[in-house]
Amino acid sequence: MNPKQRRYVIIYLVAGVFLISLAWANFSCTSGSTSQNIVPRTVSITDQKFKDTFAMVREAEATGAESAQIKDLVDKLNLALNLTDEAEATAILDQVKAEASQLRDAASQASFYKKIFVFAMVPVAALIVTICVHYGLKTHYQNKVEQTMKMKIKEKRDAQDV
Amino acid sequence: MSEDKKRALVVFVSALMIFGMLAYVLVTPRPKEEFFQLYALGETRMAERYYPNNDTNIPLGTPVKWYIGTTNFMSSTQLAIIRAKLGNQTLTPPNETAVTPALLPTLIEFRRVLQNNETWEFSFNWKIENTTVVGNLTYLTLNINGKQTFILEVGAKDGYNYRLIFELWTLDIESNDIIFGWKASNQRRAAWLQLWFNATR
Repeated sequence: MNPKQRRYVIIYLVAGVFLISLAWANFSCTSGSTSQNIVPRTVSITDQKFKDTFAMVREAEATGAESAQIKDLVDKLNLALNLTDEAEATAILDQVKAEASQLRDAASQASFYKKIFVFAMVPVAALIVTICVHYGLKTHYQNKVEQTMKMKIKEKRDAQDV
Repeated sequence: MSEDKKRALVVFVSALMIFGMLAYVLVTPRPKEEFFQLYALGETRMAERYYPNNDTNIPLGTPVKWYIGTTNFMSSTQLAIIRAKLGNQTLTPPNETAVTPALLPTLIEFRRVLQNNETWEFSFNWKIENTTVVGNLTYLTLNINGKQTFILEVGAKDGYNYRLIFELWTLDIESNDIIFGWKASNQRRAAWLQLWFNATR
């Protein structure tokens, strides 16, 4: 393999690792949200509505929504659970579902960008380490050579003095 | 290729692999054991004084106060439902191994949505309002949190060895159903409690 071919192989290798990391990040994000699908069943409207809303809150949580935001939704769900007025409970559930849906989308996007950023930083960090090691070793060898030269000069001067 | 470049390439590829693994660990949530904790406390909110004067023989009209609590360690928000049931010595209690609830009527149900690591505790106040004797069996009318219930299905010989059973149920998102216990790592688990008492006149 000539040097040119070798260079191409190395470039392909690095690009391949980078693309695999990106694909992994993307796959993790989509698989997290699809696993939360629910199977519809015939139950009373309020119950089904509650279950759907609860599932939406769980999805928002699974995609990485913040604990404080989830707490707000959980408090509203508990309020709806304790209400005797069905119309009021339904209105609260609708509100929670809409908020949870928005939260899920925002959290999903934030989570996706976070993963992209983390994996994109991998080659950058590797490059920084490589540069540091390269120049660190270079300085180390240079110092070693200088030290040896100084010792030789000192030895020669000592010999001349004698 | 010079020695310097070869060395730099080796360092770069090694660093790439190490940082790649670190990034994967960083973005992948660590698996944790998922479970619920269910407990009952006495009137002092401690694991003591479950009965008035520490006597399991509960006279008519004597108020009994317990605290029932549950903690969600499921790593996600959960709907916890606690069902209180009345049993006697012979009726089958819940089975943790088979994950089956007690086939007894529910006296009262408490529901709450719990965040991960959240504890929910509520007071369970009850008293025996009345007893009805049919043959040698005693049937109870209980007052639980101000709500009166006559339990026709469960009698006990001479009013001895009744038990109040507390079962934890959850909403399973996958099956869209309320289930006894919970599902963790595709396995069903269950938690339940029982407190024995005698109904004496």
